[in-house]
Amino acid sequence: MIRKLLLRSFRLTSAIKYWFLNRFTFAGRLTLAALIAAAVFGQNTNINMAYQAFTFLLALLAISILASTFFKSHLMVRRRLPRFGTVGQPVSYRIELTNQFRRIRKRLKITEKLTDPRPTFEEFIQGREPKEATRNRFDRVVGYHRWMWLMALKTGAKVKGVLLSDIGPGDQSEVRLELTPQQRGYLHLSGLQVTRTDPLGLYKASDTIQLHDSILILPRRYPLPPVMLPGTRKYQPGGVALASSVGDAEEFISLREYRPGDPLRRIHWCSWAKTGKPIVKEYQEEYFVRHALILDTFHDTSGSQVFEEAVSLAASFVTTVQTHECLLDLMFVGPEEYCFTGGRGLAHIDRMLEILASVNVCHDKSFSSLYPMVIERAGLLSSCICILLEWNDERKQLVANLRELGIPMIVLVVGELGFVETLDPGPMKDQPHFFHTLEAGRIEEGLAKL
Amino acid sequence: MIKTPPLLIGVSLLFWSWQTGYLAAGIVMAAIAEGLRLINRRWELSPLDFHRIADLCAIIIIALTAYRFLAGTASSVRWIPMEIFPLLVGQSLSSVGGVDLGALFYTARQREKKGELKTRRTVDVSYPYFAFVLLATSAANVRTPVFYGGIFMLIGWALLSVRPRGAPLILWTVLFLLAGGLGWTGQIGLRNLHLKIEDATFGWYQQFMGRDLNPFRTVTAIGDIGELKLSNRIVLRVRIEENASPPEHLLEASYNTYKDKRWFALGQRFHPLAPIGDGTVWRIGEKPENFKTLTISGRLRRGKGILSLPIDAYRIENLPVSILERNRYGVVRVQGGPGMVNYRVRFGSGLSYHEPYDEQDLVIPAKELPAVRQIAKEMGLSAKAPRETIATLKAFFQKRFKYSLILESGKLGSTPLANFLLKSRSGHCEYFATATVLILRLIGIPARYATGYRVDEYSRLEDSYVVRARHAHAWALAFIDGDWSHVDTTPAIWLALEKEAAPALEPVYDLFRWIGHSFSRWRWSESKGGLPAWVLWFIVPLAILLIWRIVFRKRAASAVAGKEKLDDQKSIPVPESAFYRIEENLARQGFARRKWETQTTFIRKIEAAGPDSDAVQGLNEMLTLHYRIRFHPGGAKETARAQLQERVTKWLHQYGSAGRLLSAENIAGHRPHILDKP
Repeated sequence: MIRKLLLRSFRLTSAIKYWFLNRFTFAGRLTLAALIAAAVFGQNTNINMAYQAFTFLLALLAISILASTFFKSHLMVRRRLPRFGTVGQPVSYRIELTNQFRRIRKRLKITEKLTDPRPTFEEFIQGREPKEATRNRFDRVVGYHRWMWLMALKTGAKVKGVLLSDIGPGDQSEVRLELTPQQRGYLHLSGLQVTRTDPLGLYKASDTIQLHDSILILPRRYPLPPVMLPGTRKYQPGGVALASSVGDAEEFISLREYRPGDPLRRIHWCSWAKTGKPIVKEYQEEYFVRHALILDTFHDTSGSQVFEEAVSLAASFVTTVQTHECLLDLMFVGPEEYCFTGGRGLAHIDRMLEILASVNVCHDKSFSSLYPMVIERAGLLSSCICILLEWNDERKQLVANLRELGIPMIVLVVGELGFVETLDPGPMKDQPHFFHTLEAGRIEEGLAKL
Repeated sequence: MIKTPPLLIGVSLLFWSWQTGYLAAGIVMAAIAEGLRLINRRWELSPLDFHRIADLCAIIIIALTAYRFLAGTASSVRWIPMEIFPLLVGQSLSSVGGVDLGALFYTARQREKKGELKTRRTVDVSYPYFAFVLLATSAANVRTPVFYGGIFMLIGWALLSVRPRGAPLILWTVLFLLAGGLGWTGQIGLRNLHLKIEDATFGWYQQFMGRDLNPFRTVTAIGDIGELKLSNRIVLRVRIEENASPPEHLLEASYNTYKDKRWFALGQRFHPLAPIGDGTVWRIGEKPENFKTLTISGRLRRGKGILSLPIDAYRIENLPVSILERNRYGVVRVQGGPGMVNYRVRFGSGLSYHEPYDEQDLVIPAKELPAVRQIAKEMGLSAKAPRETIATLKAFFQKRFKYSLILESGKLGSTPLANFLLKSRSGHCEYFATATVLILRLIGIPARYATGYRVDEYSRLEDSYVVRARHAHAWALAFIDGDWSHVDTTPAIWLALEKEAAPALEPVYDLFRWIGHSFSRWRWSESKGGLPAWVLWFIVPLAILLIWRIVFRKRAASAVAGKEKLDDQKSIPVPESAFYRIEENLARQGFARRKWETQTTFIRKIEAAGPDSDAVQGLNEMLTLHYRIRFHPGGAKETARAQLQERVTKWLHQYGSAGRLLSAENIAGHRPHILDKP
């Protein structure tokens, strides 16, 4: 009950703040602040004259707001969005505008309108701010920091408005808008806000043009030094063809007589009919390099910096590993276990980045749920890159198991700032140069040491 | 730099100084604010500099607030432009174009100090300063249209400078004039509304003083059930000069109409009186030949209140209030005074300052008439002279009635007053006063219901009469022989009964009350001719102490910080490392390391000369150990030192002698590139 009341008050405060910042100009904000000060100070009309300032400022604001009440933009808008953006990289795109009004439109400003970032009650209750454990009891109960964190998390991008040049009746115009994504995943755009400042320069009339659209924001990627992945080529049942198309279309060499142990599906029935003896098809077996990229998704807090950095790191490997030469298996656990294979024409880097853009933390499973999937593919792998969020016994066990199976490993442990000082390499003790620790917020520095 | 249009701040400061009277300060500040625009030079002020400027502003604000508190002067809002002027100057001189948020908000300052902010966050204070100047001007309270005209022009100037590009000037002018007109009409309406609300609610303030006192209406406890309890708090202190006897009653308000347990003062208006002389002397009646003087001390809540006065007061002195008003019922109310007043009252003429009676002072409510008639008949008042009537009344109530603070329920069908007169014959002063007024009216004597205090208790501690909340009293005023006089028919025992209800520790409480009162008097005391000298004696050392504390603390802090910096800059002694023996040996062999060469580069050069690969590998391994000893933050472990020692000895044994590392021709061939002259 108290939580609901708190959330409502946060939502209301946030709405008022949005209105205040979005609709008032700087002069308008100052006028409103002065109006409140005059109202407080001028309560008693006997002892000062602030009430005169109050009525004058009130009249100014009232006229400004009234002059902006019935504003309609009368613009038809088309947005030309790119498919992808990247966290932290400004995305620039075109907006086509048509003036459908019979008069010239002046002093208009257009801004992208994002979906309401205010968290729902469920999100507010379930969300856990990364530093929540360090907050005092009052802060934890009230949840203001959690609210602020969720707001920052859900505010997908920073947008910039653009002042339009005058558009004549029926004329078309084009402007470029820019937004800077703050979070990976789908960024939903709800429409475009057209504003016009009133003649006194205090209040902005606003008209929203509904235009839903979305853009996929890919994780931030870091430049990686050339990664010399260890390991050799491995036999790949299914061959190259598996990598280029769906189905069991290996390289056919010849027909030969059946030998015990040959799979039945390789029997060439036509030849058997002709010769009366079982004949099987023989295929050339393929050997090539196949890397695994294991992303640890087992973390308490979704949206935490550590997890985001780990995803960025995975994205950096995906873009850096030369996938036209080899295969790359991206393995992680979401609602279930996932393994996406890319490289050699099977799936493009973009597809893997799209997957990484949408990956989220896994709360309901343990790290061991990753084991079966990894061990099952271990025989195919030339090497394995593990991006881990912790370095505990479960994770050490996985690394040890893979090493026992003879798979060369690169282990990267991402943690909070300052966690790395004395981390025991454990099963990577004999290969310390393949075990690295990276601090969230200082990833680039860490990568430079690789 | 200041972002407001040129001269706007200067003109607004001049306007402020004109209105408040601080002309010299205004001119100087305006000259500085505008003069700084002419200087092209700007300084790189750091956030720390702005913190110091803000601290300076805080010192000025504290000093001026202390001055205001101690000297009891008017609102300190009018000093705001002086108080925050250093911030404006700081911004003008800075190349940043704003003031760091840390200078304005404590939390931001903490974040700045911790280095949590990625970018410097500043805010332009020039427009807010302009707004503060206008707000401070309003505190001058000069009641002419000049203030409105001034803010209209100045705000217009400011708004014109930020007019949106492309907005038509004509439209802007029309809208701005419209706002000006609306604002002017609105302020007249607001002022009238406030006055009306104030009139209607004036008495509410008095309720905080412990009882219901409203010049327009009073609610009695007649007919209530329970027990009346009044506070023992001292509300007034009365000191009589020249050993005269004090007036028995101090009157606050009188009422003429009774209806359903309430007394009303109908058809009254307050009329302001003009002060005499220095503005603290007020004449409310005609000067008599002989007079007495008393001094009354009491509190005014928010500078407002109703004065308690003897009925024959004619002059009030030492009352520094801005407004003093009087109505025809003799109520004197004041506004715009200090929190505590200590006024002298001249009285003793025997003539009241109340206006004569009218027909309303003879009206008896129909509901109460039968009971009043019956009691008058019982008293046999009809054929007596007024003075005799009053004596009879007093005697009758004294003998036949009982004073009680217990409120009993009345009989169904009769009014509480009738029940008091005919049945219970027991009640508190409001019953007696109301009954007396109505009986007097019945026999044709104009009468009113009066409320105020009974002066009875003398305090040796304070050497004055103290009037407590429990001394609040009601009585009748009768118009006899052309003037109003008190008719108090409440049995005299009431004071004794009230005193019985006082707590046993009252003398102790009184001592604390006296200490509190002495402090309040000291705090609110005012001497003529501005600031009393002792205030300066108090403020100046305090301000010096404050500034010295801050500066000293800063110096001490910077001295400590400086020491720490020096410590940081001291070079850490180079730890002993066996690797230097290798360098010395190589130098002897003709391989001296240049000063600008790192050891790694040095070894690479040796490697380029083509020595044994084992020798180079050995050098590299030893260098790693050496670096660990040299640069490891906590110092290398002893094992590393021992390991290096051992390897160095081994290496020197293997390659230390001349010609073992490189052959002579190799040295000769590479000398120009890799070797220094020995």
